[in-house]
Amino acid sequence: MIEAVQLTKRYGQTLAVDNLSFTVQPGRVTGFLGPNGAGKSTTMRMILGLDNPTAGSVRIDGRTYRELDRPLRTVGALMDAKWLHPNRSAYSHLLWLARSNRLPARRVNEVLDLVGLTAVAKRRAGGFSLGMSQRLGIAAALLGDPGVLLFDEPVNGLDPEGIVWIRRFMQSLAAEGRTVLVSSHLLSEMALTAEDLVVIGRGRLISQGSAAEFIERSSTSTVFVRSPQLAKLEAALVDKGFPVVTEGEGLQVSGARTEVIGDVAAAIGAVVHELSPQRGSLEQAFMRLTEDSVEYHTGLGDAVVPEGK
Amino acid sequence: MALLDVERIKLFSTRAPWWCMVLAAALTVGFTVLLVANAGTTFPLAVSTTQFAYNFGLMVVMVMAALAITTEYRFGTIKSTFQAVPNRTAVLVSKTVVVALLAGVVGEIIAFACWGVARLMKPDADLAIRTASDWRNVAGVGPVYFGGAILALGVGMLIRQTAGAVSIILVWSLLAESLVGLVPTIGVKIQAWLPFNVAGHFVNGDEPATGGVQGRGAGIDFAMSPWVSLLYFMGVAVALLVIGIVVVNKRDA
Repeated sequence: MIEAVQLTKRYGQTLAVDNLSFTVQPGRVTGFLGPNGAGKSTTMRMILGLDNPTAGSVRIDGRTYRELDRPLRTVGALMDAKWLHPNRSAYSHLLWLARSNRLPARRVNEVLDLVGLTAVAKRRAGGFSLGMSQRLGIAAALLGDPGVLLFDEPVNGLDPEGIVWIRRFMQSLAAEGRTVLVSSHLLSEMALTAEDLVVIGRGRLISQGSAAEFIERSSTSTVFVRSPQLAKLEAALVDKGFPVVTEGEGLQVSGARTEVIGDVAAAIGAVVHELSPQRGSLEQAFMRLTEDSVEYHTGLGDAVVPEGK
Repeated sequence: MALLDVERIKLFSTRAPWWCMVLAAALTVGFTVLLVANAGTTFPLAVSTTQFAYNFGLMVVMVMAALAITTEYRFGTIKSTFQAVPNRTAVLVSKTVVVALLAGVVGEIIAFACWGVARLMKPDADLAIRTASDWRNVAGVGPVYFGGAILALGVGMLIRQTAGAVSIILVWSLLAESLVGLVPTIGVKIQAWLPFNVAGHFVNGDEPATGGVQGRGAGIDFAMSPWVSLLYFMGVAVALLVIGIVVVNKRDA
């Protein structure tokens, strides 16, 4: 379990993480969601003891990272797949990591096998594709067989095959009872991977809870409908109490499923040319939620800074 | 011990240290060969003259040491390292031990190689190592490389960027300490306290420069004896290292 309490990080005048408190539960994938620059990576670096919090603390199973003995056995992390010396082989990279936590060299071969890099283990890591580097990073994270795993934007820049692989991999790690925290700025990706969500914007907590709930709450489902008898259909839908917006040749109907609209159309004898549920509103919903915090800071940025001093 | 092993694996699993060691040896021995080949009546050969070129190797070895830490920042492996071992002081001390010991061993090998080459080339010259001063002339190169590596690591920890750290090390040791002598009156007095001049004093001792060749520190009136000079040089190097370690502990990785 990861527990952040009033975590704050200030870089000069910028408040990267602002009084952030959240918990990450074991046995499920928790998505760490926020727009670029929201403070996700900074928070993860603080979890790993790489950056020192300005205030507050973050603990892993009750201890700060620096208190952990041989931390790779407790926490594995993939922060940046390119944190490698380009002229060092994948095997040597993992070997020094293993030795640093007194893990057996046998473990290096095991994790290489696990991520499918055994064949290229002796090749220099600088020549790896992003997908291969990502696998190597995951192998490094798994070296100590840790109960807590952190992944920072693991699917960024990967091809679909790599994305699916990582997604399944994270879910299987959580299914084994591990604590898995995955950051992303893509809500659609998190909707597929995560069960819990910690959503932040501009370093502040926006929401914490189950992913399904968050998506349910924040996304209004709309259906696009086209019909030659548009006016008649619009009147009937408004009559049923559905909010309707005219858009081009058709209507955007909120809060109704396609079946309901089809039934309404049939009841009044209207011909329907198109009836399509509108997806992709997740991103919009997410933006609506984070917009406030973004606007707050850009609009009042000048007023806020002196106050904080 | 595990941490020493980690730093050893890191160091030898990249190519830079190997190239640096080969380059250090080739430059130093090569220059010595030129020197010895041109020795004659106007320029008599002595044990100390076989070590005139030690500075070449020292520069390369210091670059190697600086690279050992700056490439970790360049490629982000310092973050993986501190993630694996949150005790940063232990990491940096282990790295220093491994790199500086290697530098010291390389220094001894180069020094005796230079002396050996000179003996082979001029079997008639009196190049036997007899006095304590002779021993210091040759075997003293190792400790200076050892100290130079520590100093370079300290600079690398503070600067973090390869280009910046290497420039500082080279300009400091090759230019700055010599140019200070141009300042009237006090210049030469200050020179007697600058670490690389002092290190040269340890190796060369108080003997006057032979022939037309001037060793490092010629013309400077050193206040310290050769062995105190070595301690002083090590002290400066360790002080820089300690500052580097303190700063790395405070900074975000």
